[in-house]
Amino acid sequence: MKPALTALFLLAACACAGPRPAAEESSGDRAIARAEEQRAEEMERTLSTLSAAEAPPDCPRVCGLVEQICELSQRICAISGRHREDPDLTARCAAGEQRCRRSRDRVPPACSCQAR
Amino acid sequence: MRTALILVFVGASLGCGSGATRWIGEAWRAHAEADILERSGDLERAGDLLQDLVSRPVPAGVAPQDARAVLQDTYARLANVALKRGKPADALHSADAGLQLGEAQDVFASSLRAFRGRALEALGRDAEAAREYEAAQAIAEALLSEALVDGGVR
Repeated sequence: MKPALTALFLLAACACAGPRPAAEESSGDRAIARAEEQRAEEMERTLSTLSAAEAPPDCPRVCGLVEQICELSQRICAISGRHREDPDLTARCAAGEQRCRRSRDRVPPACSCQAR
Repeated sequence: MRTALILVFVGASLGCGSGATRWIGEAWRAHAEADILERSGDLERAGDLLQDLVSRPVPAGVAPQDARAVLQDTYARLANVALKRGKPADALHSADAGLQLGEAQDVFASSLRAFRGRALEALGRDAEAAREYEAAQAIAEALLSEALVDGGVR
């Protein structure tokens, strides 16, 4: 991702270069300048998006929460296991396990949480 | 570690020299001392220290959300100490006291709900315990969503 960001910076810097002296300006130059300005703005927006997407996830927090969610699911299912005749507890156990799976699936690839 | 971070954060936001800062300092020392007592196995004195902390009046200068954070964290720890001492009724009492201070979608509420569940389970109130665990899980899941957004992962 870094080369892409560097390239975008360089392109944006070129596009944002200062105006030429008024004597040299023609209507063609002005049209080119406008187009370059628009391109620079567009690249700036792209750059902001890329920077936002590159913010690293807080892996210890993410992994801690996933671990907590799955531990709670185990506790619910342990209770359900002691009361097999209770459909409400069975449903809660299933819902808890689903939450645990869903949470694990949401862990970003950058985080390698240890599954217990 | 989490308690220390909370206390440092709250203390920093209060400035120096006020009764509020003194309260935060005392809370920090009580938790640090409770750490040592817990490690040495003296759970009773650790619990007494924490109980003393939550029994003191909160100085006027402490923002309500900061007071809630410090007290709920302490009540959760009290519940944990009580569970370790085999006193689930005391643990339930501490968790309830913490939750009575107000509930938000935060780590304090999730922690108190989980300890409440453990206390209820130890008291044989399984169905109620499962509901508490589920409530704690729902908060943790919401916190996970926040963590993924805050961390830039969408």
